[in-house]
Amino acid sequence: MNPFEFVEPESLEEAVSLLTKEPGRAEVIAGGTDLLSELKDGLRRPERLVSLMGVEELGGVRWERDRVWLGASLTLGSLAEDERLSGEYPILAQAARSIATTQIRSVATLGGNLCQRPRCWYYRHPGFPCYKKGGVHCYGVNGYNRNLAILGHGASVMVHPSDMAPALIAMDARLESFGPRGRRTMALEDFFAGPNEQQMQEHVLERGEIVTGVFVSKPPSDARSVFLKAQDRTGEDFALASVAASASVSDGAVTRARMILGGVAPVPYRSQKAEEYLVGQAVKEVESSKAAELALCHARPLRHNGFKVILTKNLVRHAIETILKQ
Amino acid sequence: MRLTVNGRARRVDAAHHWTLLRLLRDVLALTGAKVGCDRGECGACTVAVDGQPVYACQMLAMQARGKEVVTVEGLASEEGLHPVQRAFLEEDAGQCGYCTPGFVMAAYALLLRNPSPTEGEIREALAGNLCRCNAYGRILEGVKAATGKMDSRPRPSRGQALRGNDGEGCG
Amino acid sequence: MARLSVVGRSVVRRGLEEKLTGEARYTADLKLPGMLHARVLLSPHPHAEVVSVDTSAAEAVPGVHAVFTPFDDEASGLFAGDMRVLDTRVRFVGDEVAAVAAETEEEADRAIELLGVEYRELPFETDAGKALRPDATDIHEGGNLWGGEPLVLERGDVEAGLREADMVLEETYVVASHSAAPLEPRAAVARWCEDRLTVWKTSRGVHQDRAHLSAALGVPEERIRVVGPHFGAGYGAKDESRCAMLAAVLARKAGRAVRLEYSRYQEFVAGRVRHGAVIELKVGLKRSGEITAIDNKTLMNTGAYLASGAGELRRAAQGGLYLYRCPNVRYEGRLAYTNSPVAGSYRGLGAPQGHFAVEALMDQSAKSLGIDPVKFRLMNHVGLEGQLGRRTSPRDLVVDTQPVEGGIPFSSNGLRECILRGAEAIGWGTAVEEAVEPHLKRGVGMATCIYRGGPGWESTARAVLQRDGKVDLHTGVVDVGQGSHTVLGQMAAEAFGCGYEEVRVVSGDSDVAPHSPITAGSTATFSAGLAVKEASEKLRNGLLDMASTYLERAKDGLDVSEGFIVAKGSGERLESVAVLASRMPGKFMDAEASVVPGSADYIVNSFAAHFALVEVDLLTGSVSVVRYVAAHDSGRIINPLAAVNQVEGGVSQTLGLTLSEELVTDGASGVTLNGSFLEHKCPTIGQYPEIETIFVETEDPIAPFGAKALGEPPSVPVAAAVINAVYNAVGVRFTEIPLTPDKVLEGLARKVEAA
Repeated sequence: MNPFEFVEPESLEEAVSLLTKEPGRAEVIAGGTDLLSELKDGLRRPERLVSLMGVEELGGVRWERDRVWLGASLTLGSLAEDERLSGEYPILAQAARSIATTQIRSVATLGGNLCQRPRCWYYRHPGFPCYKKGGVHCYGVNGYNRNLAILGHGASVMVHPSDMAPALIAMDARLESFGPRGRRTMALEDFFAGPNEQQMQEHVLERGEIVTGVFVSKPPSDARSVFLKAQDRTGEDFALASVAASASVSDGAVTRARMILGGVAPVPYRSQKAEEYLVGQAVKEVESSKAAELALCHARPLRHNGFKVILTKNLVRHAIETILKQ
Repeated sequence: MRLTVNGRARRVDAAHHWTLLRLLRDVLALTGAKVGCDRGECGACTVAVDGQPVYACQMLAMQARGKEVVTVEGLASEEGLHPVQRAFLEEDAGQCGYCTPGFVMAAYALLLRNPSPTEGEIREALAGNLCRCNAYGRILEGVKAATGKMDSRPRPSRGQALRGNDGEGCG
Repeated sequence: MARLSVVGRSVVRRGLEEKLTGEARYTADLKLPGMLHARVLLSPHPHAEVVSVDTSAAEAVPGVHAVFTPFDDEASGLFAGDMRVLDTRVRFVGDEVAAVAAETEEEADRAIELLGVEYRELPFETDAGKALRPDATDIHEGGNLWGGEPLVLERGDVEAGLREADMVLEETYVVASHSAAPLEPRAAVARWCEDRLTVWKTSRGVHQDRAHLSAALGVPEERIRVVGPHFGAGYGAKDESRCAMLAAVLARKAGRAVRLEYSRYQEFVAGRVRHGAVIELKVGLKRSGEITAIDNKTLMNTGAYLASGAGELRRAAQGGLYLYRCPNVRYEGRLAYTNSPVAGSYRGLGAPQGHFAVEALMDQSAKSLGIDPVKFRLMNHVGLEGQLGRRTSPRDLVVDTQPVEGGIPFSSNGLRECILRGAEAIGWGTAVEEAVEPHLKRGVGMATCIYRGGPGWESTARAVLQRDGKVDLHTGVVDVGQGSHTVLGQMAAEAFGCGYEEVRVVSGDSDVAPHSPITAGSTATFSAGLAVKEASEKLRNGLLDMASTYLERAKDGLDVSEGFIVAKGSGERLESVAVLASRMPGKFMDAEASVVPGSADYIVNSFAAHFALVEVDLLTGSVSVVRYVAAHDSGRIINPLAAVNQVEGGVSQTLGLTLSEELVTDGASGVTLNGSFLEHKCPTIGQYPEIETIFVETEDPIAPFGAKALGEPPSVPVAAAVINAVYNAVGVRFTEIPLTPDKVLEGLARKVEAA
């Protein structure tokens, strides 16, 4: 690993100023579980790491009257084990629990999970100057693309690796950030940026801007949700595909639906067609396989990943059947 | 920087880019935590930081500033092996032994927060540790045997003895 | 079977306590005074000439003490058949190009980055089949087919056998290359004192390592000492590597001690992998269930160098040649050089690949004939008498443990009992309990195994009675993690007549250990065991001579038992060994034995039958093994708990080959893409099934205390047992492993289309 300076400011303002002082030379570190691998493999060579773990206001869970605020430096372990959160937002605990391993969850943070870089093998291998590292070529297009995108790909066929993102988007979460231009919030869905919009990052943050936390509104009393994740191995692995689904049902009909797919597109993929099909349907009329077909109607599999279309349809079907039974 | 290692306050020099694992192995001569992958993917370097199991290879030494670190050398006491170690010994929970310190520490951290885990909980807690000899059956039995036997009181540590270099005479 | 006092007991594994406390030292834990850190540069090209290496910038890095390139004098030494210490031709992405040693790791890293290597790229081929086409570029002189011709082994007339059959089934099976991925990456520490070299290394055989170092460096063996500290396992894969040679050369150039550790990625690509294989298999059957012919054409990918390829190619044959009673068998094996990571030995050495094909097709044969798979095995498995026919090899020659000819009986054969007891334990023939969720489908499957049963190379052991009454057992055999020192210590205690705690095992140092072969081929218990037993018996005999004089009693009325000289018959304790030892005329008493193991009359083989209950998730395509029964005939079990550990570990490890592990090469660049524990999917405790181990303890007249091989057999039948169970669950015959979710989902979709 190349030497660097490690600094740990105590306030957001200080952190932002450290990040903007020498543009391009400083990087944010929180838990560091993703970043350290990139540094060790020489994919990035910052001269300074600005740790966010000393900024107190980024930690913890804050309960408000009609929403909850989850701090960016909340660890995935705390997120998975928080009893009240598991009770009121089970989908978030399900997603957090499915991520990596106990040791990673002890230190990896919510903010880091949303900001993590691609897991594509070509991206992670120092030998390929790929598009997401600033190169011109996406090696996944014609290379070994079993784990890569089936939906929404452009200049890169990467998939977004976050499991928290689909679950949070299914709960209509909003992301809060703080940067040189102050504080702002946005729908978490709008936070992510595909390869045609952003090359060297997978989100819309400006230089020096930091994720501070996520707001999740209290779900209506008739809401139900589920997070499903398919992996090569249970435990440790990133998703081959995941589905976060939530819905409200009243008087025997679906009144609201969210269907977010993870691990299949460069950003968490929201399937509006499936949602539109579900909303207004009587529960007993819902054909889950029809919703699954609609969810994947834009799928364009690559040479080695046709199975992900089958897999994702299966997960969508199963997710709908599960939540309508709840 | 300052940190506590196996119950003892330490003041050490560490470069900012060093991992906690490098600090433990190269400076403090605590080589129980092993280098298996250096990417947080195998668990051979598992230690407890403030009671939480972490991969020492995937944490900067600076991130452990002011924290309490327990390594495998810190478990046994003057009274003998730690209950987890004793149970692993009796259940033959290891083969080549390279993963063993990591498994012991993961099991220790699990039992710290959950003294009577179910088999499912044991599997989940240890899924971040690889044993390439695949002695998983014995390791499961080892953790089960240690269940309920952990004494949470602090114990005098015998693992503090710092070992010198292994240099021998001209071979 | 006679009851013994130490053999057959689950004594505590030797060395486990220090492993549990973190005190056990492995090679990478060693630190010598003034030691430098080394780093190695791997080739980024799959096939190229190294035209030049500009070392000036690297040498100018402060702290750098040595740079080693293929153009140095020390580079040209040849070892392991076809490998140079460093070569001006690189043959795969990962081939070592150069190495440096510096004061710190950072300086060494920097120097590696600053090496200016000029390559002239050559055409390359990573696929074994394509590498054998006439227009492929030669990777080694003499072409890409190792040996220039296929290995052909036959008994009877396979063409006639196929003609005679009522039914011929044929199928092609594909096994992907994967890595043994020992948790400890290879490492070496080297130091020279004048002209004498000491190397501490990750070793499974200090004498073989010494021979390789001697050949590679041109230094006589007498001037090389190899020490094997605790060993973080290898499963066969840590041999035939440049690591120790590079450390030794750098240490000589720098005049300082040097430590070289491979990174995890380097271990994955520059370590040794299992041979990928394509197996075309044909079987001829009579309607009655009789097997008339087995025809096997196997192509294996040995990568850029031969390593253990020859043994691998041979052992892949044995299942087809010998597991079933069949007069007409033929094996044609081809081993191809390619520009891929080097394939070497890995637990089972070819047998897991070969057995996968044979046992999958036998399952299909049973189904096609309408015979239950267990019944079909019981009808056809090879019996104690061996294969039919006349022995053709000279009768005074030690029998090959992997014979082709008929007419030679086995020393023991518990295969039938393995099948029967395993079937009973898994509940064969009763309905499989269905899973709760409708998308989980369950099924059972089975497979059997034959494996060379222990006889290996000549082995020497020395037993020394010390004045404190303890026995030091000197053996060159390295405990690779499987517990051989525990088992050999038990044998020594049993043969000498003392408690297990009274035996110390001294090992792992080529200067002091008696010459021993590598720990390989499941031979340690058997081959080293025979030498240990004989040496310990000789020592007991020496002690009895002394006791006879001392006690003034006839020697044939005396025995040694549990640390005492006892009267034969009554068992009366006459004197303790400790007291006698303290009165020895010399400082110690010792005895040595060298044994060439094996038998001129019998084939010594181990056997097993495995049964799997699997669950296939129709939604995700993932296959999990719910319950597993492994029934083994490895003769007498020396240490039941350690043996169970060995079987459970072997089964679980091989579930990786079966369901998840594959080393993937990028076709366009030859780069190994997934050299990490995250992406090369080794089983975790999460996938570990409930495993029941059954030992069918046959009485073997040849083996020491009747103990046959156990190390590798547990890995051999796993793939077929699981894949056959998947068929039973979902009705699809999968022929390619690892059977990952993508293959399962696509297979299920094809089945729906076909219907």
